[in-house]
Amino acid sequence: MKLLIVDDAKLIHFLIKKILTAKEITDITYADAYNGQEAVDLIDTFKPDLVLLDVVMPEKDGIAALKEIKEKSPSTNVIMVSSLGTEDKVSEAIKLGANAFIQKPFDEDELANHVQNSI
Amino acid sequence: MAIKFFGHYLLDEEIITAQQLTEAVEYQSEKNLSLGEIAVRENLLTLKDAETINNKQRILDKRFGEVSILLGLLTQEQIEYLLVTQKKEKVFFGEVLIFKEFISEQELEKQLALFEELQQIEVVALDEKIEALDKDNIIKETIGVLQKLYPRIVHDYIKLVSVEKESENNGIIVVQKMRGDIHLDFALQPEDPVALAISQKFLKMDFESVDEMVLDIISEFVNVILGNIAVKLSANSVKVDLTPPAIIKSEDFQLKEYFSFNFTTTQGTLKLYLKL
Repeated sequence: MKLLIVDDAKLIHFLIKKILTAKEITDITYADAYNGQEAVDLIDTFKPDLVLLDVVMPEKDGIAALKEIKEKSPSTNVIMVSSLGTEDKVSEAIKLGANAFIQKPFDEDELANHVQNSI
Repeated sequence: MAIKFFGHYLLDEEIITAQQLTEAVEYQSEKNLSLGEIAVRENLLTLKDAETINNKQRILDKRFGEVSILLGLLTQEQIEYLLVTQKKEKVFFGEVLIFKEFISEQELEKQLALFEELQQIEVVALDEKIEALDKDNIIKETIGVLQKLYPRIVHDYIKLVSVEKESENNGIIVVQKMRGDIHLDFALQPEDPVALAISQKFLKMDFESVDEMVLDIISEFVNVILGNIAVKLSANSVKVDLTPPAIIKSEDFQLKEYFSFNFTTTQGTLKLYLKL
């Protein structure tokens, strides 16, 4: 599976990979983006099966990126992983086609289950 | 006098020395076991299960017992047994001081009475100060979220000790802004040991110095706290957005515009700066 991690915090990239490896979800090819625009740019070239997408990011935020990702590739699964799980953000993300919204600080099992279910 | 722990009060009053304080705190923390530690000692849980419960506790807003039952690792009866054992074995700070012969029983009673009287005055004064600054309960909500999430993420206690206007400070500050229906500028400045403790718990790795990764973690920590404050405020139909967190040097930080809330933790001081 191709997994694109989108978060401006490098530690989140490191943490997600560490969690998935510990949960023995290892059949993954990773790509990293650090803002919404980088994520959108990677959709055509990397063609991810799943995108883990933060909301609060510089240049282009996660909601704007989600909209463009879904326009470019409607079948790509997107899970929002953000601390900003306000009612309006969650409903907007789901309306735009996100499969789920995981609130930070996230539960390792919840994250792993979502990724596992997307394989 | 600001709000402080009894041990620090005794230190400031020169009743005990810094070395005695450290020795007493270490002795107390060795003796006072968590429910998980007692469960492992009593062979009710494996170390791995206890760690699983602790990790879940970091995420879920639940007590150790509730998470244990939820995961099917302990029964209600076992939890009650652990709670009774923990209470029975609990060693109070004053008892340690007497046991170690750092203070007499009579002196302890006298100092405790003085300390409680002074703290009562401080707590009322601090509440009044926050009340006067607060707008729509935003400061109270903010402090509440920080005091709730910090122990869950860092596994340490946190206590607000003073509120003040500061004119100078040193070091790195992480700032993030909330915009929309509410304008709130939120900044955190942890002392190095606090920054390292947060980082260690976040990544479950040891860090020796405040490097780029630690700063990244503190930025994310700020993002998590402010995001959860936004979630709390959004329950009242408030719509807000957050800017990405930014690391700035203290000389570039407009300190005079902020109120400083000083928290104490086991590892050191954590300063919260708020501008409404």
